[in-house]
Amino acid sequence: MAIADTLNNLLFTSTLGLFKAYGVQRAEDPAGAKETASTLAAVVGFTGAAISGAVVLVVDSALLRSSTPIPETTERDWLAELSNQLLGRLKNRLLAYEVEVAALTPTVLGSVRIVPNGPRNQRQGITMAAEGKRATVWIDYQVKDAQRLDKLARGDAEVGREGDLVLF
Amino acid sequence: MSKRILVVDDSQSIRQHVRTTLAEGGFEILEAVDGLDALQTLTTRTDIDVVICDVNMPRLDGLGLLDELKAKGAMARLQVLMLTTEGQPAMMQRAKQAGAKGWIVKPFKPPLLLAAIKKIAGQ
Repeated sequence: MAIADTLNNLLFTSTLGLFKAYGVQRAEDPAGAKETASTLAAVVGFTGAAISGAVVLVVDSALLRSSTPIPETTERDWLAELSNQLLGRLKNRLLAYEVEVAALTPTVLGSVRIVPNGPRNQRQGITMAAEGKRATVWIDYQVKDAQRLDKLARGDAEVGREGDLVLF
Repeated sequence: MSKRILVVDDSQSIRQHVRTTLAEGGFEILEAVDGLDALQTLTTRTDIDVVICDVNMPRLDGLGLLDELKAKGAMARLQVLMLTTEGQPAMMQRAKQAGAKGWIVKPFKPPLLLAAIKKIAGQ
């Protein structure tokens, strides 16, 4: 399995798992859907010795509102937190592949129509949908040390779980 | 008397979510927007029982806050639970060595957080 395939799989399962944790179940597989109509997007960068890049999360306002456990929060703050948690999930899954990255501060963009655009790493958006509402996510990355990504290229690691309590 | 809990997170959404989650436990909730804000509160107030703390925050991060509190001898009177997107064993080990009592990777399950805080707070 290529690095891009593993990264996209990890990103997709991370996105599905994150929304599921907030009560949004994937309801359909929108084959061919490449973009999400939205007025909000979040960009969160990451950097490490082997790989660096950014994850972009574009979410319909309706899906964003469906996912928040705190109705009184602002869409902007919740999207920043969601993108932060999405990258956290991705980071924790990368750890299982012995790839360590640090997250940067999320940036939320408003009043824009954002779609993935090639050709670097053949970036493609992955879209999930629930009840007609959509979220599109993609990763843009640059390999800095391919030798450190051997395990990622093989795509064969067990990953940890979020939400569990560890008492010391 | 209800236990006082300081929620330290730069996300208003998370602070509100934690506040709502712990409301049924009868706790008094205080908030800090980052580690430095929390350090100022914990330096001036000695009536806080539990700290729920994020790791990645501006100005002073959660592990830095633990180090500062440990250096000031404040960890002896505080119960600290880390609530973060981070899952790196090295970070967890560092928090444990600094005196934190537990670690939860976000997103958290509200019943689990409430149960954990009740246990840590001895309630």
